[in-house]
Parts: sequence; structure tokens; C-alpha cells
Amino acid sequence: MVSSFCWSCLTRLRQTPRTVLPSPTAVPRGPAFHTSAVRFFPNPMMRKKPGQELGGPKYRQSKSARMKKKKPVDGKARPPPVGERKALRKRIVLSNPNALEVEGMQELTEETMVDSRLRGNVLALPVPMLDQLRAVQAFKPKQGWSIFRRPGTVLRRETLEMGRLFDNISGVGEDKGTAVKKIITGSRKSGKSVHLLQAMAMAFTKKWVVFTVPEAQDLVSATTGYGPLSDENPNLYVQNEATASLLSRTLIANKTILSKLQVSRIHPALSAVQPGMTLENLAKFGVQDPASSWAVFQALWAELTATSATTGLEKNFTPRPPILVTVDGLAHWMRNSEYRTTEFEPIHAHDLVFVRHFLSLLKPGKDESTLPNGGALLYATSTSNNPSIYSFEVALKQVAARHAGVDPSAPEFPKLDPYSNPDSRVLEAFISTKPTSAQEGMLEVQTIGGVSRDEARGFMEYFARSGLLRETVNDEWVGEKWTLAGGGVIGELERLGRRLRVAAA
Amino acid sequence: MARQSPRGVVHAMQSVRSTTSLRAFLSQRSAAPAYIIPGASLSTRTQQWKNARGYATEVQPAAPEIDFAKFHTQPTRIIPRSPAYFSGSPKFIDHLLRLEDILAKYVSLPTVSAAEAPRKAWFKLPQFRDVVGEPIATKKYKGLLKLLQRLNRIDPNLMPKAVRLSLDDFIRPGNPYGNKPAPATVDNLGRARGKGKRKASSAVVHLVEGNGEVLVNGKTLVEAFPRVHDRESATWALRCTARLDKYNVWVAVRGGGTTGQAEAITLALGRALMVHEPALKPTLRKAGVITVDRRRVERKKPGHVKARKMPTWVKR
Amino acid sequence: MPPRLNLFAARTAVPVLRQPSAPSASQRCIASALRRNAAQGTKSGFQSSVGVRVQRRWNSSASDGKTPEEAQRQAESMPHVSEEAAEINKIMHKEGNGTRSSPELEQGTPVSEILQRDEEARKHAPKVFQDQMKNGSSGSGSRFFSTSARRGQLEQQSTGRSEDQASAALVESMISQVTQQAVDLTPGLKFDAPGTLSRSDNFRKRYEPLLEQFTKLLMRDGKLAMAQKNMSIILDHLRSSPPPSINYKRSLLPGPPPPQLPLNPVLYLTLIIDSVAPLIKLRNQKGIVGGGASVQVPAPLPERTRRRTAIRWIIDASDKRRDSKFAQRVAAELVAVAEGRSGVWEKKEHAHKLAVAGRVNVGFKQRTAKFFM
Repeated sequence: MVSSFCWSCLTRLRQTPRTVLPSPTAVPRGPAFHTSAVRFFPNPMMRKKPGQELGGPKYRQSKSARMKKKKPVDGKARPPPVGERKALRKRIVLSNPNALEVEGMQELTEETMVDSRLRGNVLALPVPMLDQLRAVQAFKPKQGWSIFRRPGTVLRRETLEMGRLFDNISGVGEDKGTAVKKIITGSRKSGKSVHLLQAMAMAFTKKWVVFTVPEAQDLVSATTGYGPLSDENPNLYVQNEATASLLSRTLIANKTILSKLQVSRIHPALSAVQPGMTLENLAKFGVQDPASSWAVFQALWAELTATSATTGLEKNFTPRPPILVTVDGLAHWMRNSEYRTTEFEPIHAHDLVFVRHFLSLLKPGKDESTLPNGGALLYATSTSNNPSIYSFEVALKQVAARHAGVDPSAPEFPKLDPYSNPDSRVLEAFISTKPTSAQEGMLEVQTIGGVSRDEARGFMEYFARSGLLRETVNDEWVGEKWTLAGGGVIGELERLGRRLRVAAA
Repeated sequence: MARQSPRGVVHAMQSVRSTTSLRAFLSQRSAAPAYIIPGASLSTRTQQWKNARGYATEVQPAAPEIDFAKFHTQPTRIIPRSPAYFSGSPKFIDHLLRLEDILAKYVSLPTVSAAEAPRKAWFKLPQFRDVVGEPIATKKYKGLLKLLQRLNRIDPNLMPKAVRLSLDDFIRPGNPYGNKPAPATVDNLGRARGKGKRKASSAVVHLVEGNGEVLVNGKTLVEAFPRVHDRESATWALRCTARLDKYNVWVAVRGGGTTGQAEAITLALGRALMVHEPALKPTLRKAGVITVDRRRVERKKPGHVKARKMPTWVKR
Repeated sequence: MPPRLNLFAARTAVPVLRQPSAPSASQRCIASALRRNAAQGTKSGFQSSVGVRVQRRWNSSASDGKTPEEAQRQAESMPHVSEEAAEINKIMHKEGNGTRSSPELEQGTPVSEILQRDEEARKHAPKVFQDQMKNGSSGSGSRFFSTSARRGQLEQQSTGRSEDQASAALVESMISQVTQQAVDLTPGLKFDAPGTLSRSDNFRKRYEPLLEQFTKLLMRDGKLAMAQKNMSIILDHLRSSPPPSINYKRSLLPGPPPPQLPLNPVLYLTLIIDSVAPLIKLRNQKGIVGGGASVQVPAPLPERTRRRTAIRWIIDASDKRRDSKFAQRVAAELVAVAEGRSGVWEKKEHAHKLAVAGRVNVGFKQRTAKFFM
């Protein structure tokens, strides 16, 4: 027990007999006229033991009890190794061996991707294509691939429309060789990135060449090297590593197609490139030597968009396949990048040649189509990691209005707020007049919303047939999930499908 | 009882005040003189005194001063009329005895169950103390209330007038159970309206028949509640009755955080659904959707660090 | 684009328009009277307040034009009392899981249904049934072959009222129609009456008790949403990790075979937790032996406490793991427990060993009490 008397009170109470008093040399004596007994003060020379201090806290010290905090148990002091957490975050698992194989599940083929009877069904991605899709980084970590036996996607209305479009472009009809340009927007988790994935999968089935930028932010976040393009253009910057990785993605994914095509033009910038070598080797050349990667990319692009060979090299020319270009997270390209000039001014994303090239594709070509062999440009915005850029929002509205046929001088055409400090370069990038070539489609904005109830039901049945969902899937139940998913937002449906509240019966 | 002593002082003050000018009582029976003198008739002034509280009190001295000069003949013995004259609270005991008499008289009448008896708002204890002007113990008053409730359970069709009148003496003014809110109905556009509160949030729901679309403050359900749990909470009333695809919901909710907002919507939606389909009430009650959670954040008190936490004890 | 509400949609806006054709008042009276009869038969108090009120009103209005016999016949055509009771029972008892209160309710499928399904049985059915099938009278929905109903029939026959059999059949068919409409139009309902509510249909008890307990124990600093997210990561991990290999010394409680466990993560989790949950704990009790010394007395634990202890052990053990995410650590520890690799098993065995060692002390209290007496 702690005594409630304080030490000084006790000393005051004590009657001090003379004999007990300490010797006058050891104790400071009070003034001679003072009548009270001399107090005993501890010798200031003696060091106090810590924790045995007399008296309360000093002036202006806090009076609350100072408790010693327990140190956390050691053993977790070392953080996990560098890169482990990122690897865990970015890990993509495409298969869950515990899930049941879905019987009668159809694969994505040329026939099934246009079959409207299959609407609402989940189509499996063919196994050989998975490597290609992985190479172009089509899968993202949080798209819920990891709980099913094999990856599959819902054939929704937008997918079917796209399938028909791709079929027409590859086909023999009058739409053959047209170029489609779309900017894909939509609310959160509505399936924009998966839409791009479906486009890539269809392009692979149709033997197209696929170029992808899986994360637009990576090009402007100053994580790759950069340098001025040339002495003539000191204000343009080239990113060699990023270009090389684009080439390597394209190379791995389109190996079979590129190996059949041959160089049919003269490329003065690349002395090592000979006419007649395959485009695969051309691309390899850029991957191995990043310093020349941009030139190689330009050469590759020129080869793939060629409609005919230069004179004298006709024997090397075979008709080029259509091209699919996808970009995910477009908004990151609409502002200053993290890169700096030598004067330490920020570099606008449009001054990076890589970005500039892909944005220039949105504009209609001068004489012929930008993609003369046909193909599709699908640029998606993102909502999970998205800078809010006013000019870009207005630009998208203007694109939609222009596509709807609203005259830019008309009063209902979306206008900029003059006080909002708009970025004119962004607006300019999206001004696309009516294309001169009939083969070229006008730039349009496609908004992806929720799936219909039937499609939602097909998706939920897929869960049930995979053994992940142990409830009776009927219209009522699906309707409930459809509402809870905010009107059939497919990412939310996926979350609801894997959610467990109660033990299965 | 130490706690009641200040109240006793108050009552003493009241009786002092009333001796000067105020004589009030509300009914004839209790206005009778507190004592009888054989052979002597005495008129007492009765006076209705309404105070600021809005109800009549019967503050009157328990023992008016006896003026012996008025008597023609000196009585041998003065007998108080009330047998409770010498008790601490004679008027209260008079009331009690009167009710007991009535009950004994009509005890054989048929009764209805307590739920079916007409609901009456009896005087609250402080009010009744005011009315009678005597210190009345809580427990005693409870006994009186029991008597009243028993009398009130006599079948309303057979209740004698005497009982009704005497019960009316104990009803506090402004019958709070008299004005019932009008039952909510679906308006001419087919909307039902419901309000709900939870934590610091309050929600107003407009419910129309439709096909399962929900808008919360103009946003979709997903935008309003990123968490699935909250979305489920908000639509639980429709979910548990399997009507999620049969109504459209339009919500305005404000205040508080996400959980509070979601559960405020739950309550409001449950109430709005009851307007459309009153027969769902037992189901909704079982689903816990129309049960009000009236807990709120406890206020912080002076001397405390939080609502209850005390500062740490320091030795010096 | 988010879907928009259309408050002004004419069809949905006026509820009166969309109701199916309202039957006449008299039909309603019949229906409600029947329902009241049935409800009285079961002596069940479960009726919505509104329903009761309306029924009473209708019943009183219905009583003027109807003879009691008619009313009784109508009662026969209703779903039988026991069926009604079963329905009410389903509503009343939330557990639902097919547990029924009386043996009468467990009688199962009516014979006629079996006959309908099974051709073979139809051939060999008793002649009475065959006749009835030919007449096609089984469509009225009454279970005339149930014992109690037969008693009613016998009584009717004994009263000897055969002349109005035909009209009774006509009335019955009318009544069955009306009943069907009345189901659609229960007063105060615009759509079908909701089904039975299970325990998890309560807003506050929507999660499995064990899941809820586990989630709350995962919670740090009162962040429930975070804990729920972690819980879903754990369940996903259980669902996608390879099925546990059995360690026969430390096997899980009996349940489905291990390859089936990952597809039912909640059951998997329950088995894991219950397998390592201690049955008893040691309680220090003073004053049994005297002299102020305390004695360790084993005491049984209730289920919730057992689970709590097991979950705490698992979470504590997971702290020693090297995975970077909390949920991953706990999930890996759970799988380790399932495979018998975890230190949690030792904790449980240790606790049981100590408790067994202290079993001498269990009877102490009585002995001392006897001594003092």
C-alpha cells in the first residue's frame, strides 16, 4: 500500500531532538532568526534513483499519469522483403482448382462471339489464348478471376455488339477494313477493363495484331527513363524502356502473326533492317536494343498500316491484318506528367512521343484512314485511380455531342467554363472532324452501364454451377442482387456472388 | 426520507401561500369541509384556482383554523369528517379511500383486457402532488394508479357514471392520447412516405411501385454506399419481403455517417412499405426493420474526459 | 449512366389500376370467413392486426346470409387445418429447417400426389382412389383422405344430406376459385405474401453466428468494415487453397470429406474453430481448502466462449507468421490448423491436460460443505 502522507508533511510533524539533527556541516542551516525547525533536505550531491523522485510534476508539466507503453513484441520488427507486398498486390491468379468445372461451358470462338442466343452466358477464354492475354496484361488483379476454375467472361450486350463489329471488320462485306474509334467510360466496376479484355480476346481469335497500354499512368509517372527525341525536336521526349516493353508485349502476344509478315518498306532510320526480314525479327530488334526501340516501333507501325509495298518489294508484301489498340486509364494522359525538362518545368503528357502517337490515332487521317487495314481503337477511362481533369470531362462531352451530330456552334454544344482554367491541348486532342475516308469511323464515346437482369442471372448461375454459390438462383433472387449491385453493375454482382453470409444448407 | 425534505418545504410554502388567498378545489366531493362539528353548519369558501400549469389544484389547508367564537354552543368534542384527518396526507388518503369504495361497489362488473381499455393519461406524480398539495410517496401513488387502472378496465359499455366521473378527476389536462396521427396513405401519385432516424442520420423515403431501382440523394445505391453491408441494410425491408423488384425507392438522407444513413433508410423504408402494405407489419417486425434503435451518442460531461471516462488518477 | 427513377410512370403511379380484377364483396366475405374458421381451428394467435380487424368485420357481415352448414362445407374445401397450421408454424418458428411441431404435420406427401407421379402405383392403387381419379375430384385441393377430414365426411354422410351433393360440388369449385383470388388479394398486401423468415432474415442477425464472432474478433480499433473485408479475404483464401491433407492425430471434427471443404468455406471455418476449441478451462477458486490458498477447478465452457478462445488462439498464433497482410496470416494459420500443423493444437491439448490434472478438485466444494455440517 502506498502511504497517503507525503514525505514533507511527515518531516514537518517530526519533533527533532537535537541529538538526532544532522551535523551542521552536512545540512544547510536556515536563517538564524527563523523559528521553524530546520527541514531535512536530501543531499543534492546524492543522485536520486530514477523513479523515486519526490514531489509531483514540475511547473508546466502534465499532471496525468505517465504510464510506460509496452513495447510491441519483437519479431515483427523486420518488414517483409522489398517487393513482396507489391507482388502480392499485383498477383494474378487465374484458376481455383477447388471450384467445379462448369459443364457445357462454351469457349470464346468466332462463332460464339456473335451468337446472340448465348447472351448472358459466360464464355470461357480458350486456354492457348491465356498466355497471349497475360502477355498484353489484359488481366487485372481484382477482377475476380481467382475463384473460378478457368477464366471466363459474360457475353453481354456490349460484347455482342463488339463481336459483330469485329466480325464485320474482318469479314468480306462492305464494312471490311473499317476503323472504329471509341472512348469507353462508365461507372465504377462497370466492366470497362474487362470490355477491353474481351476486345483483345476477340482480336486474337480474329488474328488481329494487338497493341495495348495496360496502365496509362505508368507512362507519365516518371518511373521509366526518358530523353529528348532528337536535336531537331528538343521539346519532344521519348521513353525507350516503355517503348521496348510495349514492343515485347506486342511481340509475345502476336508472335504467330508477326512471324508471317515481312518488312516491305525501306526504313532509313534503321540500317540493320533489311527488306524481307519478318516483322517478328524487327520487333525483337527493338526489344533487344531499347535505344532504337522508338524507331523500331515507328517502323513496325508503318509496316502494319501499309496497304501496299513500296515499288520493288512487292514480293515481301502480304495483306496486313487489322489492328486493335487499347489504352486503359486515359485520363492520366491529359495533364502534366511527372517528368521534368532541363529547366525543371513539368512536361505535358502530350509532349511524350509515345502518348502523342496513340492520341494522334484518334484524329482522322489526312488522306486515308489512320488504320487503313481496319481495326479498332478502344481507349478506356478508369474510375478507381483517376485524376479529375475538367478539360477532359468537357472534351468527352463534346465528343459525344459531335458524334450525335450537334454543331459545335450550336448553343447546346457543351461549352467550357472560361474561369476553370482549361487545358487547350486536351480539348484539341479530341477535336475530330468528320473523317474524309469512308473506311474510318468517327470518334465516339461508349458508356458502359449495368447488365440486364437476364445477363445478371446468367452470371449468377455461373457462380452456382461453379459450386461457389449455394442458393437457389431464381428471378427474385437475381432481381434482389441486381438492385443491390446498383442496377446490375457487373463488378458489384461479382462481389455479391462471392459474398458469404450464412453457411450453405 | 432525506430526499423528500426539500419538497416538503415547498409544500409547506404552498400551504402558507394558500391560506392567505387561495382556496381552490376542483370537485364538490372533496371540497367538503374537512371536519364536521355536530350541530354547527359551516360554509367554506370553495374557489377554483388555475395556476400557470394549466390544471386546477386543491391546495387548501388540511386544517382551517377553527374559530371558536362562531360556535353557538361549545361542542363537547370536535370530530373531523375525514378519518384520515390526523394522517400525514389526509386528502390523498381520502381520494384513495373513495376509489376503494367505488371499486368495492362495482367489483363485480365485467372487465376488458388492459390492452382494450381506453387509454387514459393519469396525472404524473409531481402534477398530482401539486394538485393535492401534499407530499405523496411514489409508491403510494403507484397504488392509487393501480386502482385507477383497475377501475378503467371496467367494460366501457357498462361503466357507471359515478366511476367515469371520479376517474375523470385524475386525468391530466390536454389528453395526450386523444389526438392520434392520421394514418399515412399513399398519395395521388402512388407514393408512400416514411421517415427514419438512426444515430445522427435521418432519412425520408418515397416508395412507389416500380421495378427495383433505388436512388439515394440522387445517386445510385452503389455510389451512395460502397460497402455491401450498408446496401443490404438499406434495402432490407424490401429484401426480406421479396419485394425488391416491385418497388422503386427514392431517398433523401442527411447527417451522420454511412452506417447511420443506411440504417436510417432501413427504418424509413420499412415504414413506407407499411403504408403500401399494412399486412406486412408482422414480417417486418420480425425482420427487425421497423424496430427503432433510439440510442444516440452519449453527451460528454464536465469533469469527464469523454462521456464517462474520468481523468487518470494522479497521486499528487 | 445510372438508371433513373420515373416517378411519373402512369402505370406504376396509380396502384388501384394495376390490381387484378377485384372480386365482389360477397366473395371476399366467404374467403375471409373461411380463413377465420381455419385460424380458429388452430387456435393460433398469429394474425396481423389489420387482418384480424378486417376479418372480423367481414365475418360479421357474412354471417347474415349463410347457414352454419354451408360455412362448414366451405371450411372443408379450404386447405386443411393441419396444412394451415403447418404454414403458420413455418412462419412462427424461424429455425425453419423442416422442424415441425406435431407428428400430424410430418405426415408428408398426400397419397394423391404420389399417385399422380407414379404410374405403376396408379395401376395398383385401391379402387376408391382409382374412382376418384377418374372423377377428377382431387383438383379441389382438399385432403379428404386425411383422418380428421374423413371424420368430417362421415359425419356429413351420417346426417344424410345427399340431395344437394351436386350443388355443394359447384359451390366448392367456386370457393376454390375465390380462395385462389383471395390469396392474391389478402387485405393489406399488394403482392404475394412473403415466405417464412429464417433466423438470418433478421436485419441484426444476418450473418452466421460464428462468422459474426470471428469478424468482431478480427476487428481492431472498432473498424468493423475493415474486419469484414479481412473476413472475406480469409474466406476466399479458404475457398481457393488446396483441400487440407488429413493429419490423423489431429483431425478435424467429423464432417464432409476434405476435398469438399473448400467449396463450403463457412462450414470449413466452423469445423476448424470447433476442432481446436477447448472444452474446459481452469478456474481459480479460493477458500475451498481453507488457508486462503486457491485451487484450480476445471469448469466447462459454453459454446460461444469455447469458440472465442479458439479464435483468440488462432489470431495470436498468426502474429508469428511472416505474411505481410493480417488477413493472409490468419487464413494461413487456419489452413495450418486444418492440417494439424499449428501450435494451437498444442495449446488445446495443454489446456485439457491441466484440466484433467485438476479434476480431483472438482468435488471439493461438496466435501468441505459436508465437513462443516
